[in-house]
Amino acid sequence: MTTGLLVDASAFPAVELTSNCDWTPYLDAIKTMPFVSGARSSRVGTVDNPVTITMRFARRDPLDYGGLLGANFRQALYWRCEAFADDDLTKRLFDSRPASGLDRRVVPQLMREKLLPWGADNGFRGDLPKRHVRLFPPGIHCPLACRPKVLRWTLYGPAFNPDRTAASHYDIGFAPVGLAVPIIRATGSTADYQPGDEVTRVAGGGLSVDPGTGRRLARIDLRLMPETQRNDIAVLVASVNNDLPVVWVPDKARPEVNALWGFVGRLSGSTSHRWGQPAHTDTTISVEEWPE
Amino acid sequence: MTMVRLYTMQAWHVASKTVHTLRYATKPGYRSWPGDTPASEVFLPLVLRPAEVSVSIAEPGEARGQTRVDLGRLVMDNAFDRQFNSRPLNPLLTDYVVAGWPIIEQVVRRDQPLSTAVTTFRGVMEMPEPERGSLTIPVRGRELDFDRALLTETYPGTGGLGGPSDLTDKTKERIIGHVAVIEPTYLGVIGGLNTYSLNGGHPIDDVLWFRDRAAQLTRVAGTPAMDQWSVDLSTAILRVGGDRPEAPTCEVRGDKTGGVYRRHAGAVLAWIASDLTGLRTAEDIDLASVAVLDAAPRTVGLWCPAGQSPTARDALDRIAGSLWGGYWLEGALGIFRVGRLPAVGGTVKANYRKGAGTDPLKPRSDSRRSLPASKVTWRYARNYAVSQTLAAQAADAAATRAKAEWLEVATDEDDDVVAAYRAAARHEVIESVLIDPADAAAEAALAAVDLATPHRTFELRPWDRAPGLDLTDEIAVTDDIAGFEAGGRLVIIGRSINDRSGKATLIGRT
Repeated sequence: MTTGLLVDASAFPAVELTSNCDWTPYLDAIKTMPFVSGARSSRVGTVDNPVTITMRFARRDPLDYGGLLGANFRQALYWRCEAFADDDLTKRLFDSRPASGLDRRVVPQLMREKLLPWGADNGFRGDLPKRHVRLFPPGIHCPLACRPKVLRWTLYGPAFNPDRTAASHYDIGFAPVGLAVPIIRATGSTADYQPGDEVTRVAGGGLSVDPGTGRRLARIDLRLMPETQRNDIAVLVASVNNDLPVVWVPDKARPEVNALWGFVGRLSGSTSHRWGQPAHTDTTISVEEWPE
Repeated sequence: MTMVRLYTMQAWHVASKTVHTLRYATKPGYRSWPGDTPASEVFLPLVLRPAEVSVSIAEPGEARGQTRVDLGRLVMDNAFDRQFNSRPLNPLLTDYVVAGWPIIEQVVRRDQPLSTAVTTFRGVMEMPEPERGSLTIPVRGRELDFDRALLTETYPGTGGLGGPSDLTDKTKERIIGHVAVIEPTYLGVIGGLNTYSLNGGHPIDDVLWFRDRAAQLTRVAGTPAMDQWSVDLSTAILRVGGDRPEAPTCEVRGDKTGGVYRRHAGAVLAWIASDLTGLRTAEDIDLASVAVLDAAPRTVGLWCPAGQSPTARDALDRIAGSLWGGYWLEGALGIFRVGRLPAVGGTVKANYRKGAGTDPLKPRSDSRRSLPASKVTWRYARNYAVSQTLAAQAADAAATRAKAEWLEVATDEDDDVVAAYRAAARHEVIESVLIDPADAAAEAALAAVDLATPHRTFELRPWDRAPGLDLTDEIAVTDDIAGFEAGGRLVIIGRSINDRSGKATLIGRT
């Protein structure tokens, strides 16, 4: 059963952000939405000299998630997220590297070997074809489950400009950390896509379509929730309302699913819990993408 | 790929007394690239609705060449942001002054650098109108800059060359171009001679004659005696010997500031916009259009008597309106441009077809102006000092001129128009600031040709937003209404820059 996460990204805990390179306008810009007002680095990272972002929290609060979203990372970029219990970075609590010990890529393998197309540009790594990557804003979703004092991101690899040419800077739009509610989607949940185009139908059968910004919409159906989960949802919904950001992570165990289906958004509409059973409720949460 | 509209505003920061640049965009916002100028600047996505702006020229013969820019309103998002616990545009309202400051709108593709952005509009902002969750900033074209007095120098009223006390704080007179008959400003007796000022102390080209009650006085070079006059061209001070003239008039070739005697319509329009009022610099003026207008030069004359300064806009309108189809406009990009509205029959810049590129043509309600004229009378060489009491020794020609306010030249009656329209055919009379009978006859002939056929105006909504089409361009439209079945031509006399409907609106004239 796939367990997803609905992350409360509404408030950044008290934190000091430092980095080993310069950021424009300032690194703290990654603590808030929208993406366009995020931070831009002065250089890209290399294997010998990666770009690191260190978040030093004031208190050791529990965190379920860390992410770097709205970024301009290419699929081939490597990242690593480490969480430490102390300021001296000696007691490591969490490392994003899998058992192989290698750093993860931004867009991991999505296709199974048997289905890899021969000759296509994604035929070797099995990630997304180049022309499809631009459809999904790149982001790194890293589910944690610890109480870190320091969280450190390490990045090295290529990045792109908006027209997909090579860039010599990293853009990070939003880098939330926070607690999350574990979500097991029930049958009937949907993952929708709204193109956002302006369609004008003209008398006589003509159609004029003005392209807009597409946004994804996840309708999460939850069934037979026990009281603890119901309480967690109630707290999340009340703290973000419809205006503060949440991050939808569909499967915390499979990064390739999150690369394609995860996004930062806002709750849309109201949330109602329906009792069908004496002690369990059903509810539907709608999350609408915030693509700016 | 979405197009984003970028708004760059200059605003006055009250506390530090400096000019700041504020940058906003429509959703989803934009960020310039590190290689752009300015580098890595964020255009916050706070614009809800771009300003709807439209520019139009009046039809020839109507409103004397005046252009119109309709106010647009820029609606911005001022919703409370709980991430920052504030409304993002509150500082704009409390710490800045935007009224009267410039705004530039550009359009850019979201995935392209800022260097590819195209400027669509340069305007001026007015006082913002805040609501709780939004903010509306009215934006106007720069034409309205010209709604200020043309002349600002005044007489101190201290006597002598400073003018008598009844001229205190009245604007000094000015003559631009060649005027036929005017009354000079009396300054009093200075150095024993009656002294008149013609051009507020600025140099003029020449005074052709000076008469008192239509009786000519003699011009001399030195000190004038009885019935004589002399003029200092560098200060435009005219002295008359003998008693004070009762009804002085003169014909003057006017302003020669900087050694250049300006009298052709295009040159005068450009000079009024730039050096005389100081409102525009040389970069803001389309000098090529001035050269095109002056290729067939027309001498104009404008007299502003002491104490009566027109607005700059009024002066520009009168001069542009003295040419058939003449216009001046600032346009969307704020570049001052002059010209004549062309008749249909030039090169077609775009083709539209109803239902396959544009909405159907919509006729605009036509005024009386659509009836053709069988005869055009062009009035020129205005006499600003008409007098019926004349001296006995006045020459006949001078006497006739003194009694008539206008000289007129008329075209012959157009028999075809009279035969077709009979009593409905109009007789058009245009009052102009021209001075030369040949110029007036040429303009009347142009007007007669244009007015012999009725013109209609239509509204057109092309789906491609009419890129690259500006006022005075010609387009061809195929529709099934009268006159357009096989493709009719329209000259664009108005267009919207941003249309809330997503299309552009063009106003065309057949």
